[in-house]
Amino acid sequence: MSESLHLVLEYLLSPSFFNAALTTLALTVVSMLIGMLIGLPLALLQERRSVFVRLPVLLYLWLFRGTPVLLQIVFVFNVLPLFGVVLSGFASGVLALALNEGAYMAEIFRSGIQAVSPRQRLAGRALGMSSAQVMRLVVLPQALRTVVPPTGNQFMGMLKSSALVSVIAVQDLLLIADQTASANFRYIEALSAAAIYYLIFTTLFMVIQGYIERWVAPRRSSGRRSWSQRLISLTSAQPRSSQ
Amino acid sequence: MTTSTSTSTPAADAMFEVRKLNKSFDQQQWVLDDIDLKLLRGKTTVILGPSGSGKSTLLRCLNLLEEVDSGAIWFDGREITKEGPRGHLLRREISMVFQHYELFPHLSVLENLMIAPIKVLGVARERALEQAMELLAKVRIREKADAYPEQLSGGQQQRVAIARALMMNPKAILFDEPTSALDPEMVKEVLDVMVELAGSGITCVVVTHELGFARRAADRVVLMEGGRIVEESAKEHFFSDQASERTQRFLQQMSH
Ligand SMILES: Nc1ncnc2c1ncn2[C@@H]1O[C@H](COP(=O)(O)OP(=O)(O)OP(=O)(O)O)[C@@H](O)[C@H]1O
Ligand SMILES: [Mg+2]
Repeated sequence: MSESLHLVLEYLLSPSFFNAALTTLALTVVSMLIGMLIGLPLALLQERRSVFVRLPVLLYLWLFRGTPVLLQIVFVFNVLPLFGVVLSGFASGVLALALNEGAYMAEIFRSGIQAVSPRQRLAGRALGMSSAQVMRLVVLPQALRTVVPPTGNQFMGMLKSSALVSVIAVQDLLLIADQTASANFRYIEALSAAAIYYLIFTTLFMVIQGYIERWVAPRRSSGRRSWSQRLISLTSAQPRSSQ
Repeated sequence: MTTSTSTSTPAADAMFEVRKLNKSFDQQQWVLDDIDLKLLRGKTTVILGPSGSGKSTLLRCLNLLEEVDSGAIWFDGREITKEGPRGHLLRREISMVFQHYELFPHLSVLENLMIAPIKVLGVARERALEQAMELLAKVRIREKADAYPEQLSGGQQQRVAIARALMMNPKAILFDEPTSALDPEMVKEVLDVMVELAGSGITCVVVTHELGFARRAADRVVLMEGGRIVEESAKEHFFSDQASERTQRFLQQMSH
C-alpha cells in the first residue's frame, strides 16, 4: 500500500507527468479563450435581423454542436494536411476544441444578452447611444453576470474534453498515464496520479470562478472607493471590483 | 412621402410639430391615427388618456425610438422623420424618463449620470462630475452619489433618472408615466422635482395619470383616445366646464 502511494507521488512529481499536466492545462485554457473569442461575435451576429448574417451562424452552430468533438479533432488532424495545412497535434487539438467551444459559448453569450431587459436597451438608446454603445456599455456588462457560471462549467468540461486529444498523440495527462501504466501494468497508480492533477485544476477553476462571480455580482457601494477611483474605472473598459 | 405636409415650415414657437402622423404595429389597426400636434417651446404639455390609447407610442415617435409609418415630425425647426438612421444623434437633444426608471444596475448613481455625457457627448470627466453633483443636489439626493440603484427606493431612483436625463442638457424631456410604478408616499417627491423642472423653461412632455400634476404644472393638456387626439387646449380651458364633453367625462372617470 505504502509502496503504491509512493509510486503515485513519484509519478506526480515526475517531469513527464508534470509536462503532460501543463499540456492539458494549456490545451484547456487556450481552447477556452479562443472559444470565447469565437462565441462572442457569433452571439452578436445572431442579434442581427438579416437572414444572410444569421444563417451562416446557425450553420456553424448546427455543425459543431451536431457532431462529436472527437470526430472534429480527428478531422482537423487528418483532413487539413490534405489541403496543405499541416498543424502539430497540439495546434490541431486547440483548433478543433476551440471551434467546438465557440459554438457553445455563442449560446451562453446569447442567453446572457437576452437576459438583459429590452427596456434597459431602450434607456441606453434614449440617452443617445449608438447600437454598439448600447451593447458595450449597457448590455454586455449586465450579461456578464449570467454568463460567468455556465462559462465556469465549460472550463471544467473542457478540462475533461481535452483528454480526447490523446487520440492524435498529443502528450496530455491521459496519454502519459496510459503509456506509463502499459509499461509496468501499474494502472491504479498512473491513473490516480493523472486524476489528482485533473482534480487540482478543477479546484483551481472553481476558486477562480468564485472570485469572478463576486467581482461581477450586483454592486453595493462600500464607501471605501473615492470618486476619482470610480472615474478611472468608468473610463476603462474593465468591470471593477466593489472591494 | 408626405409632400403636402412637409413643405411648409413649422411655427417658430413649436418645439415639436407633428403632422398627419400614422403608426401601426400590425398593419391592421392604427395605434396613432392621423395625429396633428404642436408642442410649445419651453412649455409643459401633459398627455392624458386611457390605457392603450397610444400615449407611449406617440412619445417614442417624438424621439424616433419608434419608426413612423407616415406623416412628419418637426423638432426645433427641422424635420426629424427624414433623419431615420441617425436617430441616435437626435436623441442627444431629447431626453426621456421611464415608468420603471431604467437606471443601469451595474453602475453607481454617479456613473449612471456621467456615462452618456462622457461616452456620447464627449464631455470631459471633471466637467461631467461637476454637473452630476449639481444635478444630484437639485433633485435632493446628493448623499447617494456613490450608491447603486438597487440600494435606492423607487422615488430616489426616479429622481436620479431625472438627473440623468438632465445631464444631456436636452432641449426637451419626455416623461412616460414617471410616477405610475411608485408607492403612493413617494409620488410627491418626484412630482415636486418635475414641477420645478416644468417651471424652469425646458420643454416637457409628460404622459401621466396624475391630474394634480397637470393642474399644478401643465401649460397645455392633451387628451388621447384610440390613437387620436380628442382635445388639445390650455390647462385653464381643459379643466373648466368649457372643455369638450368627452374631456369632462374622462376627468370624471379619473377622479373616481
Ligand atoms: N411594440 C409593440 N408591438 C405591438 N403592439 C404594440 C407595441 N407597443 C404598443 N402596442 C399597442 O399599441 C397600442 C397603444 O399602446 P401604448 O403603449 O402607446 O398605449 P398607452 O396609451 O401608453 O397605454 P398605457 O397607459 O397602458 O401605457 C396598444 O394597443 C398596444 O397593445
Ligand atoms: Mg404607456
